[in-house]
Amino acid sequence: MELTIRIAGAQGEGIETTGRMLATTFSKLGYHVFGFRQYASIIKGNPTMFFQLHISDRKIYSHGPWKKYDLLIALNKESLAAYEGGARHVISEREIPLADIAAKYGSRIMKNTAALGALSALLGVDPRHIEAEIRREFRDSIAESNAEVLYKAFEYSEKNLPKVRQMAKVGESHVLMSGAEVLALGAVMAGMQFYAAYPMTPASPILHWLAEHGPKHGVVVIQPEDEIAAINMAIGAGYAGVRAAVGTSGGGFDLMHEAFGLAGMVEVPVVVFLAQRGGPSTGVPTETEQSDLKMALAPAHGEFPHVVIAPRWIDEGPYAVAKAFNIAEKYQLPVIVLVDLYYTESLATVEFDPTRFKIERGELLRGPAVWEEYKRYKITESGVSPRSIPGTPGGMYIATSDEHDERGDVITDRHLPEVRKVMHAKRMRKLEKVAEEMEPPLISEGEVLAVAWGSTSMPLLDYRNGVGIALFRDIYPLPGGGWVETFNKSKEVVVVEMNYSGQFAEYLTSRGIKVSRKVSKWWGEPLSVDELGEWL
Amino acid sequence: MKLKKPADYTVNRPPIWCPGCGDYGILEALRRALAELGLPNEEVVVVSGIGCSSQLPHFMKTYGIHGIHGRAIPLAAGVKLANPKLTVIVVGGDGDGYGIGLNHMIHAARRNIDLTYIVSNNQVYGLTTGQMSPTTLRGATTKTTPEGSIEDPVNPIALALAAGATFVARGFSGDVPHLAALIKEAISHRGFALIDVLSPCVTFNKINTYDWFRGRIYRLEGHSPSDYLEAYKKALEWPTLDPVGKIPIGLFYKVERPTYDGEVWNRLQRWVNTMSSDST
Repeated sequence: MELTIRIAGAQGEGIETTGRMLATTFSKLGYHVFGFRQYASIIKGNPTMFFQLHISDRKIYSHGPWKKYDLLIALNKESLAAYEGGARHVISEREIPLADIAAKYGSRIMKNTAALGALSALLGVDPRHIEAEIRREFRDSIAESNAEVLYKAFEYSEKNLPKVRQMAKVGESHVLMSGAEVLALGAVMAGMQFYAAYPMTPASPILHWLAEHGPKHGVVVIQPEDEIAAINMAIGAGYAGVRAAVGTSGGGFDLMHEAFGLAGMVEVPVVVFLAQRGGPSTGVPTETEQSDLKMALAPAHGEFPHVVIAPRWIDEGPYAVAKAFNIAEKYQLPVIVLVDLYYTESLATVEFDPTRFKIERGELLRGPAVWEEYKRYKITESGVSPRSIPGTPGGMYIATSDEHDERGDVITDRHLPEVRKVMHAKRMRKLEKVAEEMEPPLISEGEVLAVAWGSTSMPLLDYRNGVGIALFRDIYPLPGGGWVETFNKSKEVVVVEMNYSGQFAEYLTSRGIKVSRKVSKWWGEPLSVDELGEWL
Repeated sequence: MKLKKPADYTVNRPPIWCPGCGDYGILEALRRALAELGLPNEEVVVVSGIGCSSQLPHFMKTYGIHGIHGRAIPLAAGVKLANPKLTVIVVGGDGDGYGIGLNHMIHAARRNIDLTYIVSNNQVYGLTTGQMSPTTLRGATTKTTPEGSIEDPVNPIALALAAGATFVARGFSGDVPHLAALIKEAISHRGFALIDVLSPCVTFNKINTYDWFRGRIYRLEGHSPSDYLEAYKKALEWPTLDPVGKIPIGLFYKVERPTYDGEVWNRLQRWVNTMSSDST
């Protein structure tokens, strides 16, 4: 059983609320659900925004097909004209007097609720399930009149519209979360205690969730004056010994580069949630893209070790985040969790295993030290040196952005090439060890091998049409292992990504990996299973 | 409290500043203040940005971060918010704090984060060899103002007052006992404290010398630091109204207000209490 619903209308008129209520309804009926919102950078307006819901009785990973959908709810003329062509069934003013029913039993703005009544008749969903969501969303008389509108529209539709499905409860209720919420939850489970973020789409929902739930779990959450302050605060908190992170999008991360390099230089762990959107500059702020990969691979001036991890599907988020925090602390370096609007803003039914979290804090100096002897930046084979935390007697040191010696003393007032040589090499050496912890791509072999990274994995997982897949989560440093053989064996290696130039393809090519062809999409819509059929 | 001497905060490397630099006075005053407060070395974090004066943490036997240009305050705020038990002191120059990093001071002041911010104000960019700074006086010649500056300088005291700082003072690095007393009081104050320190650059600023200041400064006496408007009037005396005239030093303003870090941690504690009462 598989079903795609597109709810369309003017932005600011409850499209998202309707979509969310419906997503929750189906998730409680035991269906797997994936919801995606296509919208514009305006609070009220944009006549053709939509929320697409993909529903199935088996595990799904994406919003489904883009050009054909089973049911369109069109709440205005513009969206009916724009999307009718792809719809098998339509609910609009043409099929049922939505506005009249809404006005008669509630108010005109409850058209979307009337449409839900029609939907429950059409799909054979007991309207009481939708009523329950209405009562969770609204209060008092608003809830009452919405419920009234729902049932009246349901009754009308039972009489006048064909029934196309009979959707009963198929299993236990699923938990529905957005990608952003999943990442935030992962951070809390990973023991994060400090989060600083300046509002920016599509990273803000992480901040919203943490502002509400973080303090209950001991997380200090601050909205600072800008992104520069955000990352410097997180580095300060990391220096003081707590797990710290920031969240932003490309433009905000542009501002963070200098401090990102500082974290690399002073060897303070910090995690950056980098949620991409269409660039450059302000770009396409409410639409998805994967065009910040090159920036994530080389995020600041100079050379220093860092790590890039790009969770591939929503459920994987919490564990990817936990890994990011562990790597950051074990290797004392900055880590980027690279996601995008499609990842953070999509809703999905998720499975979550709280026993899968293990906190590894790396080499910490525990207990008092002898200050005269303590070397914060001791040259070691692994490149990692035991870190002391303010408050520890004898462990005092200065974390300096200048090149320094093993004690952290600045050396730039003299010419000390020998110190620079070994200290720089010590830091860079950490990458070799990190590479051993990088997980190879998820591979299923095939003559044609479709390669993706991060969120583009989601439509590829739903596209089951005989092609092989190689899905990368751990991006930098590139994992070792036998996967290169699979690439070589495949007849055609096609890298699928959401940018114009094929940044991941270029990255793989630069490492000598076989790439035969690129599939690129960069116009602000997510990649969909039907397009994959055409392009692969 | 363990008795401490200023020497308890010294390291075995001498500062790298030019002989006669005002930063020596600030370093000595800071060590004295810490000693008088008897603060354990491991509970003090000295955070700086980039510039001559930002080298200061390296000459302190404490924790510290010598960060990037202009960003000392957010680094320090992160330290304080992560562990409010630490005493966090920020040092840096006028370029670092009133130029590239100015907005951070404004926001730290209005949030009233419990930091002590000591600005070594020498009215010139020293480490980059003598360019105009945000506090360079109008008319002063520097490498980048060969015909004299055509900009009016920032008034740090007035700015901090406008931003909502709860402790605003000015010191002089040629008067270490007075400065040490100000720093001690600033550290003891719960909230954001600015001490703007007139600190001559003997190499690149030939105008605002020790003698130039000695002939102009006077100590604020009979001034009530609880009077905001009076503090503001005093703040305007120099360099806003009279760039070459009398310069007041001392405590301009002091008020008690809830600190940001205190509020944050009260909330976290409230959740801890709620959670533990839920589970019983």
